[in-house]
Amino acid sequence: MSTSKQIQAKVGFYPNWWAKNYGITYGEKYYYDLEYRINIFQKQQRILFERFGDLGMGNADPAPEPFIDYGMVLLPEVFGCKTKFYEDALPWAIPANLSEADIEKLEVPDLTTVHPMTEIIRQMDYLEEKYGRVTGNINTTGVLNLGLKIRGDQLYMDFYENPDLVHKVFNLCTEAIIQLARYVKGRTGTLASSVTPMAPPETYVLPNCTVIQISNDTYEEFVLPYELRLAEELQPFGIHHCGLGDNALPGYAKLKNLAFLEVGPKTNLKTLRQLMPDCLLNARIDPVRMLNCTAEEIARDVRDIIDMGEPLEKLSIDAVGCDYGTPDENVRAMLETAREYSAWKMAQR
Amino acid sequence: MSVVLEEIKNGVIKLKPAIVKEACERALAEGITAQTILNAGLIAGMAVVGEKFKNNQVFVPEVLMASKATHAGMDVLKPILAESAVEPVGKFVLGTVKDDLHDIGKNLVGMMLEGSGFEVIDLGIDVSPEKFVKAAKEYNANIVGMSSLITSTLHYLGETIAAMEKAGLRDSVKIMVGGAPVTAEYAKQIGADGYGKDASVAVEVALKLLQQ
Repeated sequence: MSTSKQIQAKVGFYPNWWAKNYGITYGEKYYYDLEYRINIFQKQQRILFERFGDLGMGNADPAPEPFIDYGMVLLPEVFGCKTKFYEDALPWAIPANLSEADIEKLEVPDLTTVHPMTEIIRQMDYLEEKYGRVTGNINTTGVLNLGLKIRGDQLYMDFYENPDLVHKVFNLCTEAIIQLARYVKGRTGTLASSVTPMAPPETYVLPNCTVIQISNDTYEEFVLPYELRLAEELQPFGIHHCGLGDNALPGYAKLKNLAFLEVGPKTNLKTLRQLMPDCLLNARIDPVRMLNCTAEEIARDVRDIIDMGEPLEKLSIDAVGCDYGTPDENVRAMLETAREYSAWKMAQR
Repeated sequence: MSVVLEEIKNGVIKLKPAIVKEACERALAEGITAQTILNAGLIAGMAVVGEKFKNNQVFVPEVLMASKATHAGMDVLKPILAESAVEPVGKFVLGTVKDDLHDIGKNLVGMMLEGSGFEVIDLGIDVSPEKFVKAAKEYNANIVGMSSLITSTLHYLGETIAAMEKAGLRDSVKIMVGGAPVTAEYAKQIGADGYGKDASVAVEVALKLLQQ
């Protein structure tokens, strides 16, 4: 999380930033053409070094990085969602909106025998043979995220009208997540980096982007039981919550052995630390603020996080998904403030 | 307020579609006008839910259920409202901008608007500027509302406003924008007439725009 002198801080860019600034496009090709993806990674590292090398970003002469990646759409596709790929955005799974009858018949397949996992396995085989190793970089999607892809928004009404169906869906999601995470980690030893670059790579990080849309009571009644199971099965266990986390904190505090928690902008970190003093915490800076605010405002956001997120040994900050138009001075303000202010605070002790 | 109207309002607040439907039928049988049931029962109930949503007292599942309850009541009232030629408070064309497939926020806005008496024409997701223009003309819209959830689709808000201007609709149609990356300043910068921070505020802004 941090060195002894300063906290860890990172900035990442959305595909649109790469596409508009440098003509680097993603599309379906990025996920299916291994050499294209590896070349893009190396090109990106060189660009980051040229533009922000003084901040420690990028690499002048990067080695090929043999990693697998399928965005957030692998398990949604397994359950029947269609994926729309973009040149300048992350792929998006269109909800399958399955009926109650369809869901009653639904089962979790042996993932190693179905697309797109068969494609991922083919890529792993290729990378291992060519480079001698492969980095696991698979986003499993979270229980609620995946449930919504399978059932659509109707799932929210099922909480009130058909709770048994919700449990059926969430059981399927949990089984599929465990199967996928075990396979990838068993073969590569790593999991986290597709969800967040800030967790230790061996951590399983559950993406909970949609939990912001439900109350803590609903979370604890419907979602938490499955996350408790995941936390038992997939250690070390972490959660990514990209929105304001305040509402979900009491529920998250009930997760046993929560090793890592990533929360979205403006989450009340004092409350979080009262409830979960020991977990590694990554606090995110809003990419919209990175785009629209002044460097001084960004620096203030960073200082607020550092003031509220102690202990600093267990705190990190990142701003990922920065879009085209994000001023370079905001990137500098974010990284320099995080490093300098945290170093100053640590030196005061 | 009569007991049955209170039941309808509370049925929406307590997310009970079957109770709302039955109470609407009973209210009509008691001789209460459909317009009164709509305003004092369904819309009043949805307004309470909207306020609670704004204050983080209820969340998306509750708004969807309240909307379902409101629709259950509307199904009872619609034939009578149609007979008496009750006009909606306004026509609102709604959609998520081109290349953006997110729809939950847009759907919430649509439901809250309907619950407030608007006729909502929902164009769905991935809506091009041309489709917004066509729908605004076809439905003689009072307001066009656009949603963008990711920063990479933000520019389509401005492009759609430009298309509306080019089509000569800008003086007759108000434009509202919303979505996670949108701010009041950004809305002003691209020339929108209104900005909804959330679904509840969007309804308040839409009602104000109708008065202008």
